[in-house]
Amino acid sequence: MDADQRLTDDAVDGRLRALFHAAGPMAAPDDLEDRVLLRLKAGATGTAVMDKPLLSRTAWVGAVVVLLVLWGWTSMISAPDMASTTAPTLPMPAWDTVLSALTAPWTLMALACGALLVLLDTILSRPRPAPRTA
Amino acid sequence: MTGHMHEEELIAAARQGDQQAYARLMRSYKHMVYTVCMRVLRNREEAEEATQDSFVKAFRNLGAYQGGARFSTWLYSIAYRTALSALRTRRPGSMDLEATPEQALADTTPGVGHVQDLRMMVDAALARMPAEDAALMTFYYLEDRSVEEIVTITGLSVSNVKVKLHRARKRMLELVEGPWKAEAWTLIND
Repeated sequence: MDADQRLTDDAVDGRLRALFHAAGPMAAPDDLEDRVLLRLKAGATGTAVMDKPLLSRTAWVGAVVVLLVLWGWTSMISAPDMASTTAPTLPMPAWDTVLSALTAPWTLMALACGALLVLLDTILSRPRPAPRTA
Repeated sequence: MTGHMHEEELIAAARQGDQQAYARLMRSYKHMVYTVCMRVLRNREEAEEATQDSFVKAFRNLGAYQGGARFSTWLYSIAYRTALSALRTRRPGSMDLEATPEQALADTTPGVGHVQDLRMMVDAALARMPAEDAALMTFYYLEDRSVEEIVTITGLSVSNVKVKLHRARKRMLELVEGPWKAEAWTLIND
């Protein structure tokens, strides 16, 4: 039974092979090599280019440092024993106004949305194919 | 310079950047690479684009070809994956009307010339199969590749290749042993 089945399969394979061989492959365009060589000479096709993110890594580090400094400074000036120290007093702007503006819900939400968008831009940036030149 | 070089020498020369040697390699394989892309994409323009992309990728990655498998196996693997990738990212509605089964079948009228008739018959039958199965049938029956080589080309498992080939062969037989029986075997024996 297996031998008969194999014989049948082999015969069918042989006939299908004959059919495919008789039909042959499809004809590629005559100038295909020239087109590929042109693309190779142009050199740009297929290479991946990376879009620059909106904020570079250095800008991110700088922003974090600035935020930390601001946070530290505002913590210091709000400390209750600030007035009793012998440290020279720095010229201060109207901190109450600045702090209230910075901590307003609209400001905080705008900053959070901006940070989220820039963060997404950084995370989602992927290499993309270079534009074709030929 | 590249007049009488063997394939290994052509590959070595192309690896050194000899584009004329690579052009000779392309001449040897372009029809089969194009056929693979056509079987998957069923659209002339897309298949031509995928064929070009395949050869560009292959040239740029010749350094990665170690010579363990046949060069054609390595090249067909690039072509198959490039075509599948193009198929997955294709825009809706870009299917070539000439490649639809109905149109192909309508064109299958023996009598114009038997090679063209056979080609249309094969095209029509393969157009009725999933793209992957059509490519596998081409590797197996046209290129006489073993299941193991098809596994290397496609990255599918052995059992998966066997199942797909079995299913595709059955589908093909329904056509060539059914409505096209007389024409198919008469044309082959001509």
